[in-house]
Amino acid sequence: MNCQEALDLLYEIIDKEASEIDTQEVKRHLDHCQDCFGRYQLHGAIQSLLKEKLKVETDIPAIERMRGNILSKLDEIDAQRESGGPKTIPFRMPAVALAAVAALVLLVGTGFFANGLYKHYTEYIPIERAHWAASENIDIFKDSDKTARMITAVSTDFGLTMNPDHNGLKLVGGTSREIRGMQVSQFYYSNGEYSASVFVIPASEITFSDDLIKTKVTIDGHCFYDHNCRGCRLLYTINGDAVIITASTDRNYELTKFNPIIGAI
Amino acid sequence: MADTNSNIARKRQAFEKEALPHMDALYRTALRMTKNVGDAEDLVQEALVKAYRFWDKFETGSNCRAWLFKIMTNVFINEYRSKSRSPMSVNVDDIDDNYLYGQLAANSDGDNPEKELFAKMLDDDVKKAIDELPEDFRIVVVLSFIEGFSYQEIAEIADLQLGTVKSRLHRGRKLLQKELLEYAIRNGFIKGPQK
Ligand SMILES: [Zn+2]
Repeated sequence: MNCQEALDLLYEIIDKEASEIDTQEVKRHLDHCQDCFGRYQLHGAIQSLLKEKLKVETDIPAIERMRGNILSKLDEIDAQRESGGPKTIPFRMPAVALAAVAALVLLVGTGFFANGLYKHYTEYIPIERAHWAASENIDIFKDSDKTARMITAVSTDFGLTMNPDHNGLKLVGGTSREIRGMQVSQFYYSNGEYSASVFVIPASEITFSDDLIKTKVTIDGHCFYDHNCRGCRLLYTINGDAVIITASTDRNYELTKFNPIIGAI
Repeated sequence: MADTNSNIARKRQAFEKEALPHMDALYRTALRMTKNVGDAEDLVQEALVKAYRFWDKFETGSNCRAWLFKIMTNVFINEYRSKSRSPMSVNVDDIDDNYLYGQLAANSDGDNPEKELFAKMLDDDVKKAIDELPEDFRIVVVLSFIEGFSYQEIAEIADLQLGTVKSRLHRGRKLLQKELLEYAIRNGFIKGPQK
């Protein structure tokens, strides 16, 4: 082994990622090469220094504070589970799971997106606003690079083109989020008064369960709202491999007239 | 199907026993990720509550610590980092791997210059050097240096290719060396580079 080969392995050796054979070879080289030995020594020292200096004394008050908050959140989750809340959860969706959903009303419509691309499920689900509301944490949509990446992603993954401006709602930005283990693209639209969030999710990630079908209630084209749940209005559509969920913070906004996808209607 | 009460209690017990003891380590890393105490506490809480919701997905016997770090890193990347993102335009290609070595050897009189230098550095100085790394590098550096995760584990935690982990770690190290050296020169621990 020559010096170059020995130095190429430096970080892998320090990180204990090198193979046994390489490690032995390097050892042999360092035994007779003062220069390489010095370099290994320095980098090893840097590594120990960093580990030493970065050790954080356990911040007991912070840990206790976090522990208390976490345990009370877990209590809430347990209480929901005990009350059988998840029985009505049709989708692997957090907001649905988290919300104290008193009733789930599903409307399977046929008229909204009649011509092809949308196979249309339309549903109205009373849902806890905090988890879907478009007005929440608007800063996460302000990254223009991220927005451009998300627009490209839904185009590459699903062949969807996001509408920059439709029926008065303008695209503010997009981001990606993990929601119950799914990578979800979320786009935020606003007209200054109302806002809507559009979630694009691989259809394969969503299950439409039997429980959902059982709870189905058809209301002739009328929306279902639930004030107690501070309900957002949701509209589900299936477009090829994607499920598109449109949520509006304003329950009077006609979501069915808002099309976030170019060419879909 | 709704869980029975005993089932819920069992899950809760297992979670408290297996997951919550990692809070300390998660917080240590969250501090370096978010660079502030308030966000770090929020991040840890959010990650652990999320982990509890997903607890069914965690395979008993697999690496709970790595799984928790994966969840936390994901929350951080998706929800925290866009707030104060610094542009990823750092060029490290011109920093030689042995930059610090060369400078130390040339500018110090002692036999063991790194020991002398490091003896003078404070913990906060080193933390500051880490905090100044661009975020993408910082995440892998922290997972490796502070938490001791393997390259493969980091790849899974941060959802990166193995090669990307190695190159970010490498580049992160180069930048750190540069920062440490500049720090040492600024504080007169060693002489400045000689022309
Ligand atoms: Zn050599």
